[in-house]
Amino acid sequence: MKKILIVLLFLNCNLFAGMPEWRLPPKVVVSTFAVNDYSNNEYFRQMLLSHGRDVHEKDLQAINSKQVFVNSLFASLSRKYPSLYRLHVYDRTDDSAKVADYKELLLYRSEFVYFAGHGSQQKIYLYDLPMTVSAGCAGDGCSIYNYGKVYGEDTRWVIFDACEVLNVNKDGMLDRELNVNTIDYSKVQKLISVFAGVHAILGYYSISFDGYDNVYSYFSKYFIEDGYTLWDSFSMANDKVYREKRAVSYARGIKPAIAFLRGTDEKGVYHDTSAEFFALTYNQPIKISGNIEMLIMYKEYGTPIY
Amino acid sequence: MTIVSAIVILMSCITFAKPVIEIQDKAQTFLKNRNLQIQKNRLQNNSGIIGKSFVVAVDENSNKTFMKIKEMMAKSFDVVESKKNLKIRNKNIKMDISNLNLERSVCAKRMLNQILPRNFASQFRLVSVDVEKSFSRSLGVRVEGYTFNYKRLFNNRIVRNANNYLNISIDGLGRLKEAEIAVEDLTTTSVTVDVDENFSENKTTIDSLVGADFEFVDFVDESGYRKRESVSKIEVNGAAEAYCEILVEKKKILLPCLSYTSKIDVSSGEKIDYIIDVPHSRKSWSQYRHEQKNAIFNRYIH
Repeated sequence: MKKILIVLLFLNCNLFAGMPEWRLPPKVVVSTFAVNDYSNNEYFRQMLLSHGRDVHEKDLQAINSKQVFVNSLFASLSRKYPSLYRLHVYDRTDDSAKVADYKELLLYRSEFVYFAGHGSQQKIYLYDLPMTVSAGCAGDGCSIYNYGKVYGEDTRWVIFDACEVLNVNKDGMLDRELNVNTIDYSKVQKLISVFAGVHAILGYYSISFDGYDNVYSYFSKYFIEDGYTLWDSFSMANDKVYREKRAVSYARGIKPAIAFLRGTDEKGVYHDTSAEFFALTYNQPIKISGNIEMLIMYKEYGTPIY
Repeated sequence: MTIVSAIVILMSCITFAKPVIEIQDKAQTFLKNRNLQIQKNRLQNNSGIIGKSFVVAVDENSNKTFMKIKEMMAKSFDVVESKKNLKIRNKNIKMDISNLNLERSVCAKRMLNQILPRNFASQFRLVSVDVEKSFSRSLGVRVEGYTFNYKRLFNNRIVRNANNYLNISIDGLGRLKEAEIAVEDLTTTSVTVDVDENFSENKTTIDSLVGADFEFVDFVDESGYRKRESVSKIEVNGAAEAYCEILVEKKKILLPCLSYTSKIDVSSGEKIDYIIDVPHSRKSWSQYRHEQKNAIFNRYIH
């Protein structure tokens, strides 16, 4: 009887040994990039000029937003999980946040990768050049305007605190409702191409809340401390700021968004990475396999009617 | 010299041109009907007070209403209390959203009655519905969830401040995710302000506020860029009796006002949704504000 029990126990251990698990991340390493100063980014300047705008017309508060993100995240972690290892490994701002830095640093060792600055559809603007949010290309033959990066390994969550990075509408229809007539499938494909293990990417389908830093203090509290899912935490944090800052009329156009994975992988494990909890996150990279798909989701604030 | 002066005058006219205000049928009917009702009441009651409404005070030192709601909600929901609001959860509650697109307000009312006891449900009115949409290659575009945003009614007026609301979030199938509720203790005072004005004065009052406050608006254009442009037209689509919050020596006071839902046309031709809160008439708050010299109008938008 004892032998049978031991055999059963052994089988049981073996059965679960190879199983991935949902648990608290073993560490929280954070890499951040934030750009306030775009005076050296000629590409960005030309793009603004083509829209009749000037690069100096408004100062960004990206570096401040980044600091609020890091401070809030670490404060929440120390309150809720005081013994959890945490490190802000790369803290790159302005002239230390160039495309070369973004490409070459070992971001895949960070659980959170955060960028604050200007953005546009599937593009983030670093200090000197834009970088596509797609696999892009590399090597000598690659145009500097087509540099890309994929996210995976330890990286579970990427946050683009920048305008429109997750918007996949056709050109000239960026503020339109998402439907089969407005969607640009090539832009969807670009986003799909960066999912190399990363669980989800948070960002905006519209402009972002530049300077309204409370988004990330609420987000950290909801996600780390209060036990809300990733998307609910981000969506609720934006709701909160939207309601607080509604006197700023542009806030009405804000659409917080997420690109995430949903479906059953080749091992038969079901994933919905928008619904992951910080304390119960899948403890491995999630690849697009089996019937897993990438989805884009956004929240649109309703028109008030009397 | 005359030509130069004329150009300067013309330029200043262009620079400071006031937006055109158009009151649409629904709002116009509301304003005219309220005025008729006031006239009718005056004839019936022969009382001078009919054209006035009471000012309401916010008691920030008390939370009786909040605690009462909390106690009632705790009977059927998981309730989490934070500083100023309650979060309410119950995984077993499913809302009927089958007629949502056709009868939004009916659906919203039914939802309200499912969450709140009847006496509290009647204290809230739907203002807007947020939508979460997703896209995937295999399923196309799907609705993943809704948030119904209600504002509190007090004395049948919408309380236009940040601390009297109910938001109900459901998933795409109607299952309750969470409801968030905030209420303050409100007390009707014996102070009144004038609310007895005709449609023409209501419109003139909007016009005078717009002249002072709406020279420019910030908004997001169709390319997704933030812009600041001058307002060319304001189309008022709906109106409601409301309370607008002002601060008098750091105390919150709610003054009877009219709240308008509108679309603002900016100079480039785009339209922006906007709520504009305005006193009933130009003199409505003047006496009150004259007495309370430190009154600050807290312009509240949504």
